[in-house]
Amino acid sequence: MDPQRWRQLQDRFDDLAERPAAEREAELRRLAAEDPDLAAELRAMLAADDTAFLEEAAGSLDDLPPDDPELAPGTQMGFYRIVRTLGEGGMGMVYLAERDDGHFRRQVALKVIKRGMDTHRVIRRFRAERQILASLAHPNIGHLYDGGMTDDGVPYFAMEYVDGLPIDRYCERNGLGLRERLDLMRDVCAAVQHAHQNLIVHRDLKPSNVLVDGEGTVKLLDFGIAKLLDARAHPEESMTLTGLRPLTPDFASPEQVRGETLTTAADIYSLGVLLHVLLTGARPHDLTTVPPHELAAAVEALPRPRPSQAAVPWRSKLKGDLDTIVQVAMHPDPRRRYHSAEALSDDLRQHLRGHPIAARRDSMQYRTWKFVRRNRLGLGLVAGLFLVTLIFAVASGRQARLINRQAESLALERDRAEDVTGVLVDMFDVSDPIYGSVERGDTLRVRDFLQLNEQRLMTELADQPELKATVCHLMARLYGNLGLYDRAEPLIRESLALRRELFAPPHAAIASALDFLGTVVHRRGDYQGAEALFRESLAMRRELYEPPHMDLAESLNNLSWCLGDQGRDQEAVDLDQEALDMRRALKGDRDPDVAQSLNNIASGLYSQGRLDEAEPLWREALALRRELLGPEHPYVANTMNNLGRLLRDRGAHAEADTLISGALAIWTRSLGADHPRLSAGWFNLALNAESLGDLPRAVEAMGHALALDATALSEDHPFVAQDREELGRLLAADGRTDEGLVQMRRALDAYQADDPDGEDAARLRAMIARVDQEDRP
Amino acid sequence: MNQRDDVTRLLQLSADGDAKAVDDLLPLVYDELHGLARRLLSSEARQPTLGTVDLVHEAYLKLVDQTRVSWQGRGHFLAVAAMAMRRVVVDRARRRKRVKRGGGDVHLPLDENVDVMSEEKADEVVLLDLTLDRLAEFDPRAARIVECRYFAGLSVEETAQALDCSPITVKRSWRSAKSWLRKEMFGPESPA
Repeated sequence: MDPQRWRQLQDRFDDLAERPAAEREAELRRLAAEDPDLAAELRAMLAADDTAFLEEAAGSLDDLPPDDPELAPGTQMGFYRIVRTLGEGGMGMVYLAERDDGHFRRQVALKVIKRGMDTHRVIRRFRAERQILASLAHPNIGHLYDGGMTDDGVPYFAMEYVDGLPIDRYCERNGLGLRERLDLMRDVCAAVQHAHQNLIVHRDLKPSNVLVDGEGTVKLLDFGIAKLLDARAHPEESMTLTGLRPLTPDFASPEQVRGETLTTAADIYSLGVLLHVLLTGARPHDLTTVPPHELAAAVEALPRPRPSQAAVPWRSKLKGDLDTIVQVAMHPDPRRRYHSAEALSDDLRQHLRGHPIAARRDSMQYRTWKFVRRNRLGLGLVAGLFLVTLIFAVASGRQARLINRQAESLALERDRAEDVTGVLVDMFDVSDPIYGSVERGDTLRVRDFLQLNEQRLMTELADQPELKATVCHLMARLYGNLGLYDRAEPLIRESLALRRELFAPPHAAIASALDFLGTVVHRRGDYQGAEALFRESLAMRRELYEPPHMDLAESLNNLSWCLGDQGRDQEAVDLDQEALDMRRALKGDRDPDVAQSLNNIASGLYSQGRLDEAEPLWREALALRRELLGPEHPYVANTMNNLGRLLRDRGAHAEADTLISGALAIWTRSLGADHPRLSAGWFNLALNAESLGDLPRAVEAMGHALALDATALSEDHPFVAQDREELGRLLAADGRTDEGLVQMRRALDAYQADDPDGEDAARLRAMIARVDQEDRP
Repeated sequence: MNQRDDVTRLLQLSADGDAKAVDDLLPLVYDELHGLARRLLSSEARQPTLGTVDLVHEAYLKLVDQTRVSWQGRGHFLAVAAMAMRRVVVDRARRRKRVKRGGGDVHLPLDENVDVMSEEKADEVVLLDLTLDRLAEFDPRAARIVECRYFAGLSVEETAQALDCSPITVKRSWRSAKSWLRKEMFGPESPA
């Protein structure tokens, strides 16, 4: 066949393979008239299309015969009849067996223990512990039904039969991404936690004991079995050590290798190893070749595991949190590991949400960095997009299941979701090299990415309005974080429109879209428009929730912000006070939202000239924010800037300069030098520099403020006109009259367009006249 | 001479575009995979779930200093390992066929006695190997994809990395190539 012909064939095949049978047949017939050979070849290929063919990788070593003679199908073991062999484990063969005693039929996994174990003792222990083992009722734990002894004295256990793959192979086989792997790991932790609460230690956690079935459900096998078989676990009844200690060196904790008393911490260690395997596809250490008598020495010398050293696609995402989580779980000292499987799981959840993990809670620097990642630009955005991808993939799958249970369409839906996911993941890989550096370069790339893919995502989501609304809202927020309010607005409007169609008010999703649209509209300078939106959101939330409620407080806070910017300061302060009371009632005094309310109340007081009342509140808010959010948080900078401005008014110019410069430095590091937020800082710095008598610095700073506002906002936004007025004034004062007049006149145009007879326009006309006059010789 | 250094150095060269480095890599990787397979097959401690992909990953860890090899280098390694794995598996299958057919002239070393593959599967592997060569004549990349996916057991993502293409290409090509192979090997009416 020639390559061109093959490509032709391939394209047709790709197309037809996806279509329903009837359509496919019609198309084949049409094609047969045109090109009979191609049609015949295509028909044969479509007939041979079989999803299972070659999917089981070659040379899988599973089909090898065991060392011990196998029990033939049909063999009776107590109540159980062997159906077939499932595999061989460390402790013996495992069979699929059936119990049929006339009352009920049940398939079980029958584990027949290797010869050499002390049968009677094993059985005795089993009887002693079976009550506890039977109590382990958890959806992620394979149930232990029964135990017994064969005629020739071999012990066996009957357990829930799980048709699944070991978790690591399941991940490989299904090409699971990092997040899905972490979600599976959290299920494993939940099962282990349950067992630990029942005082059962697994002792032999490893992939072959952690299966995932076709539904994606995790099942832990063999809980408690290892202990039954471990002679050392029962020193009171054993003087001799048989040496038959079930142990998988790569997964065993150091204390387990040394043969010490085991606690739940041993399982935590194994969970750490398992996590490492899921993250990297490889075990942290290879001890399989170490002779047993050298193991104890070998585990002493193990290096700290570093998952991020592995060559996996998400390598850069392992640096930091996940490295730390694995290291804490696998700490050589049992006391320094996570104290529970739940604590490990919680840290995974924290990481997935982008929150600080407990393992690192002490480090201030870490927390700051974490915030920067979460809230800012590039990295936050990448995380956000992964969320989009994930929501999309998950929801597509779910929706397909709901809409149509037919396997074929289900597979189609999933493929489609995977394709979109694939595109997104490809995109991220392209920008991966800069991912590691937390610098600002990546924001541009991510911005480009958003713009390139927005249209595509929207089209893909056309038939899933609820999901589309969520994705629009999310993307709007991402644009908002970047300061690109003009791009955010149509998206959040779309989200709101979709939700208004989908849901009857009052509805939390509508209220949330209203609230964010209000924020965007406010940022773009339309305070009245924003006020209407915030009020609608607030009204809806008042219907939905009983106070105190965080969402209510949020709405109050935003409405207050909007009123404050319209000069309605007392109303603003009253709303802020209500928000503050709710937040204190819900979260106590030391909470970031409480700090926000304090900051905002102070702003309202400041605007009313109540500087004495405002200053202590700002100082309190600053201290709280520094403590709770870390010294590098942009919100810390907000309050520094506010306080700086107040101190300037009071004539404390040196301290004001320090605070405002400090705020600008934080914003630059966390938001980037061209984020619109910085304009307030430059504006204040300029006025303070003027007070300090440094006019060139004042001009430069005000120039920055104007450049930022003019880029982010429209020419008629009050901030832009105000910047021009001040810049003009400063230029004129510095002797650059002509340049100053240009700016003043443009500001005047803006003021006059708003209100020709207004106070602003009048003031500026007078100023221009004065400067013009002074300039004349 | 340190094998790990050799492989790492060759991967660096290949990532820099040295095509001959890949040719030099193949025998090294083949030996390692073959040795690993033999050891794991005969070892009492072997795990019941071990597959070719485990061998490939194992070999990578053993042969490559990951701190010195780029992402691209790992892709090259996977691609070479898939080729090598194909040889290992096909060699095993051929040997299996000879053994079963009772050729008295074949002397098997002791450690290969455990090297067992069902005859049916051995037949399929040998036939696939031949058919794959034909596929490579008009779509070499599709043949490489089958190598990676089937013989090395690589995931879609790893295959994409190995062959420097997108996962979507891998998925699409994989499906049509499989259908063509199955049709050629067993005819269109082949049983599942």
